[in-house]
Amino acid sequence: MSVDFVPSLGVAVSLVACGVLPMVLLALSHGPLRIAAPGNRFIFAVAITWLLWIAAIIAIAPGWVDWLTGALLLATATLAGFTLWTLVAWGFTVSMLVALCRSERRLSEEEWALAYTGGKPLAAFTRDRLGVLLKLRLAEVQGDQVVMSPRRGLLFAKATTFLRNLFGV
Amino acid sequence: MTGLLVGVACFALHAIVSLVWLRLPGSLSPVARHAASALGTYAVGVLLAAWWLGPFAYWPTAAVSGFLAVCWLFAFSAVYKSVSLRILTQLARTPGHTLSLKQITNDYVRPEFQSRIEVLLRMNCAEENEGGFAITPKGSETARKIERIRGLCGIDGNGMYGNAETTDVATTAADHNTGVCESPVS
Repeated sequence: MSVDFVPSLGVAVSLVACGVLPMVLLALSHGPLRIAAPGNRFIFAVAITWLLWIAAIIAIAPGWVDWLTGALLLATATLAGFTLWTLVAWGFTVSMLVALCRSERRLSEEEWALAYTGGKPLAAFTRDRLGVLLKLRLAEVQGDQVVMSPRRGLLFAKATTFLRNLFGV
Repeated sequence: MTGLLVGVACFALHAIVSLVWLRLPGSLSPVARHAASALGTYAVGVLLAAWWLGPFAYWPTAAVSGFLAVCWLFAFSAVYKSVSLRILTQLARTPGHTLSLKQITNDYVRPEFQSRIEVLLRMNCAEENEGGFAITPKGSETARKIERIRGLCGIDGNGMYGNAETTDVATTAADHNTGVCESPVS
């Protein structure tokens, strides 16, 4: 029984790139390089890291297995980083807890909602989350009505329903 | 090549185990079940492959298995928690695929807000009495940790997409700095 744990040069470079991603993200979060919008900041950090990795991989020119292994390692780090980043920046429950903590007093449900949305009605939160659907062109707003896009929206809705059933949600 | 195939096999085992486990009752959270299943099936898969197949490279196995497991968790998290996707599926079920903003807020967003309150109460991060909801010591500690992480990441705002995209940390941190739940960015 034997497993070769020693990474090849291509894999080692990819593992280093996985560690570079959070460092680039932190570098873009403070100081002169700072990008204000968290979403754009993450995209820039990912782009820089992947470009560095591609340059290194071209220079090393590993075999296809090492190339694929490295790409999958960095893709895993990117997806995991994105999940954590969205949780910290836009997590619903997390942000509600922070809003309650910042208020420093007892709040009714309505007051808690106002504290969370920054003084706006809960409808503002609805519009905020609808922004994702609008950006992806899954739905559109017509007056005060929200209308699902007939093709793309339905396709995503069906995929979501399929996954919900698959996972037993 | 063997390593890549072993990785795919490890993930297939994880997919089966997690799909069964997610349907069973228990106190362990769904995400913890995903993680335990991924790690457990990966360890079993690598040991069995090393025993049956002989020498193979570890890193291709780890890369394939890890990538597929993260995609699996990503898909689960999206349909389990996403408010946006919940609204989309409600739109798909409605005749004409149309809902008013008010209806979405009252029928889907408000209940979602209430369900998150339930989660925080269950986690003992918040408490409720006649006077309303208040933070508990555990909740306060957790919120402080979150604020520290947000400060490290240069993130402020209230967690709304629009707000987080446009808020400048340096200018708003002082507004939120309230002592008990102190923002580290100031």
